[in-house]
Amino acid sequence: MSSSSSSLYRFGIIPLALFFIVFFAYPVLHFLWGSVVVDAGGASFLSLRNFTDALRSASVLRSLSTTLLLSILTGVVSLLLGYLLAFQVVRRPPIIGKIIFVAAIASLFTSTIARALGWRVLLGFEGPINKMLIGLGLVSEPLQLINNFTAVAIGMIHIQVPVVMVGLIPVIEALPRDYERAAIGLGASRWNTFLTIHLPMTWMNAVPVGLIAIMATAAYFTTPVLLGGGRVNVIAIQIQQASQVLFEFGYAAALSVMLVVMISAVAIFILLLTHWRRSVRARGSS
Amino acid sequence: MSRLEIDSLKIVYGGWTAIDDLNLTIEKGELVSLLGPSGSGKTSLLRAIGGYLKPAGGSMRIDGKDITSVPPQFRDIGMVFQNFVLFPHLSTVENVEFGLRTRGVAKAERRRRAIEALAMVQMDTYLDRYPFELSGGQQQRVALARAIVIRPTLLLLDEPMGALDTKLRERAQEEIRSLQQELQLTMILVTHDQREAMAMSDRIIVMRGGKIVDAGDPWRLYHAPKTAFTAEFLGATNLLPVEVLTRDGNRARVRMTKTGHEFEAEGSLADASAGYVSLRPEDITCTSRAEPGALPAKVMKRMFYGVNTHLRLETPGLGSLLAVQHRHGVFEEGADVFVVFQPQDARLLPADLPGEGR
Repeated sequence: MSSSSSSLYRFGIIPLALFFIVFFAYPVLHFLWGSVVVDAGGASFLSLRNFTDALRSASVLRSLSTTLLLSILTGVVSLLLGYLLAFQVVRRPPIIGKIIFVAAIASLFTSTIARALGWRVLLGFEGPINKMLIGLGLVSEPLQLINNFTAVAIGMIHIQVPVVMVGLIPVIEALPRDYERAAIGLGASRWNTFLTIHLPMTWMNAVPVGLIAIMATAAYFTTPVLLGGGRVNVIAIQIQQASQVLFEFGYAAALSVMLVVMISAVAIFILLLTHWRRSVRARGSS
Repeated sequence: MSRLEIDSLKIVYGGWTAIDDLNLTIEKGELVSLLGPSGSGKTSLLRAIGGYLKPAGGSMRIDGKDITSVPPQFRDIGMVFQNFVLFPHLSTVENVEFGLRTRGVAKAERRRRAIEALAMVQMDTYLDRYPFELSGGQQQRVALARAIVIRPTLLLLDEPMGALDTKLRERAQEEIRSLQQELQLTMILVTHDQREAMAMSDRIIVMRGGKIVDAGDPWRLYHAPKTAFTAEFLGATNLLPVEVLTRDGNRARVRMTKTGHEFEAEGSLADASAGYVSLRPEDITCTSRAEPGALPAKVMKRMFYGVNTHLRLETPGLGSLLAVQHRHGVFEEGADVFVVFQPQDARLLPADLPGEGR
């Protein structure tokens, strides 16, 4: 009985595996393979030329550092804001929690293009933020709020916060409320309880959720294009130009590989850091 | 340590009334147990006293001062939680210092008082251990030290033995009771373990369905319960449905409703004609001789527990009875025996429905 059902499971995974291989693994590997194949005079051979070209290009290096900075900034800020929101969703009375949850989720259903264009209106020279600043007498001239790194970061954070919030809700729910009750009963304020009990007990599970925002941001194309005004040249834009403007597929593939390697390094660093903490705690619970 | 007064307290959870019109006074230095089945409201009451639950009505005073709307961080009430909830990222001494830190006690003084509190529970040699390095019993001691170090007005314990194994439990009960008496702590203990409540308390409050059904010192509650519910909940008992035939002072002649068997019982049950007789299993004696007044019985089941033996008896007059016997009066399964009990051990109680609300 159990052997027949387990063999059924084994066969049951085949369609999924085939789908994965045909529609994901094959095209991606095929594309990435192109990064190490160079055509010269009708013959093609293996070469790292695409990589050495890319690494020699100042604009590529600048793109990589811009992408890394944007991703980490977005990840960190989204994690902080998402944590506060998730905390409110879990710990507030159910009605308030649900309102916050629905409001945050609603923005997830809106197209990222629409949201970026919304920010263009808000942050524009004639936009409401500049009008308000001038109206309050804080500035005399409209500020340059659009077409720069800050605008892109704002747009990206706006996109990632709800995602991070959803990921953090179970992390916060997993912490029994008695820990907070114990701290409050011992005289700690709510804010003090949050900082001294809640955060230290959940950060190692929360930080990997921020990793999702970092990885998603690193490959984002629309928001940097629409809010950066050509000045925020992230690696996704370089890849798009290499493949669709210059038709340098090998070069585009090499840039993709570099992006994957860079983000993997960040991911491994974060997971090692938090896994080490978790294993300390796991030893404790056993 | 302080006196707690609770007046007509009411607690409602989204439409469901957990506690209704509850009045209770706890004296200085008293250890009171809240005992009841789950859903009886004992944990809700404890949380309301601690300030973690907002009452829908009524008031609470500590030494005459109204605390009903005081937030928990300003109540100065110590609490030991069921799973101790020691902060896992803080060492033993840091856990104990937590409540002093929030009170702004200076570092040296903080350390001194924390070590003093840990010494009271024999944990002052484990200062730098983390909770995960401590056994359940040790964690409980640290949780206790963390609660008493703030010199609380009241100490609340929520099923503090729940996470300990049986052997450790009895020792912990003895130690907590000693500490409470030594420091003259006013302590409220929530438990569903009637043995624990009886062993530790000055007074037991028996709760059921959000109300106090009986209260008193353990000896009185066990030997002279006011309701059939208390009799059945505290220890084991045989509850026999009876009708009252005649009354003579504090004695009554009763008749078993089912079998028509008549016998004498303690209590008068002035305002009812029917009720229950509670007969404790240890008050029943089994003999092989037909003494005057002895009832014939058959041993159906025998369970040997070491300290005593439980016999499940079947009698024509009283139906199925549980009898607890020591070395004497232990018979084989299937044996025909006689049972004897004294009229003062058969307590006549009002017919409130036993087992309801369990």
